[in-house]
Amino acid sequence: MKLALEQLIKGIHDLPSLPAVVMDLLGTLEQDDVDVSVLAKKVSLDPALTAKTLRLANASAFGLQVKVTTIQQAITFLGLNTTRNLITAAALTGCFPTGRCPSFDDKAFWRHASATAICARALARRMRFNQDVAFTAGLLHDLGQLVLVCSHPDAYGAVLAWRRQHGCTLLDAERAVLGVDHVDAGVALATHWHFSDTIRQAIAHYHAPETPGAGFLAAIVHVADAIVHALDLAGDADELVPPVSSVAWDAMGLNEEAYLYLFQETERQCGEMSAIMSA
Amino acid sequence: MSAAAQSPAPDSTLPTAVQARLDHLFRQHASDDPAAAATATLRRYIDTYRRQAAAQAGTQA
Repeated sequence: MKLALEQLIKGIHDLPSLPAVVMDLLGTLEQDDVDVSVLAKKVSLDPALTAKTLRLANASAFGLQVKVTTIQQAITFLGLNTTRNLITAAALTGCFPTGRCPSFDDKAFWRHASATAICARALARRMRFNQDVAFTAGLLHDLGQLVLVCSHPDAYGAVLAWRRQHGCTLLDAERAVLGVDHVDAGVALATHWHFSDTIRQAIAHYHAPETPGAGFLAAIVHVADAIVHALDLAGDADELVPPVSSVAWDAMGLNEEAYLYLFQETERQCGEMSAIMSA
Repeated sequence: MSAAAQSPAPDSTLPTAVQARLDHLFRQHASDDPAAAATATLRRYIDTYRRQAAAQAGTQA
């Protein structure tokens, strides 16, 4: 079953909307002058979003010594940027209905997404790049998969069967079966949800970070994605490490010791967060 | 001391199941392919990381 671009876009329009407060948040990722009290009040109007954000905030990955019980407290103890990441993460999981495609493992998807976000943030810290942008890009990099799964579940089942049969990457299986891939779907979603150009570029190019104009964020997400596949953190039996771009790898400029520490840090932080994300 | 901070024992080997899983994860990559140098480096680092973890688990057992 080949999908036309129009069908892809229709599938995106049929998805639930991203809460307005999250759209606002994503628009402020690269701003520091955000009115914190207005933000806290807006988020608090959504009880489900608030509850999930607070569960994430209290996960051990964020190292809080006290339990936070309000968004305002989370901002006070974790800072605006981390809280903004957590609200975004909490909101995204609620936007995609689960269980439509029996052979697609939603929990494995979120394990991979949250681990990539954590690894991208750790890489960004070493690169002195904006850690919040890297975290968000890591979290969002594969959202196109959810678009395809939710809008064309039967066809996506055929994609997964093709991947298993041919032992290829998901991207190759999607192109073979659907004629489009999750990068196309992710870029279309990023446009529909008004993600920043920086995030949209990372989603568009993280599979080919050597593309001229791809940007450094695409290289960070590319390397984080490969590391998370190699650490086998999603728990997917068909897991496959994608080819690593030498351009992106060299751009990180890290030695073996730094990578070994990064692997350990990523493994340590991702378990609890992915459990909350996929709950 | 963390696994990452330790040097791997020179004669440490990966448990068979771990080795098989890594081979499966990296099944599309030939180690002698010069175009896949970065992938090969990642594989080498992951091997070291898993070997250190196995050695540490052996020490603690």
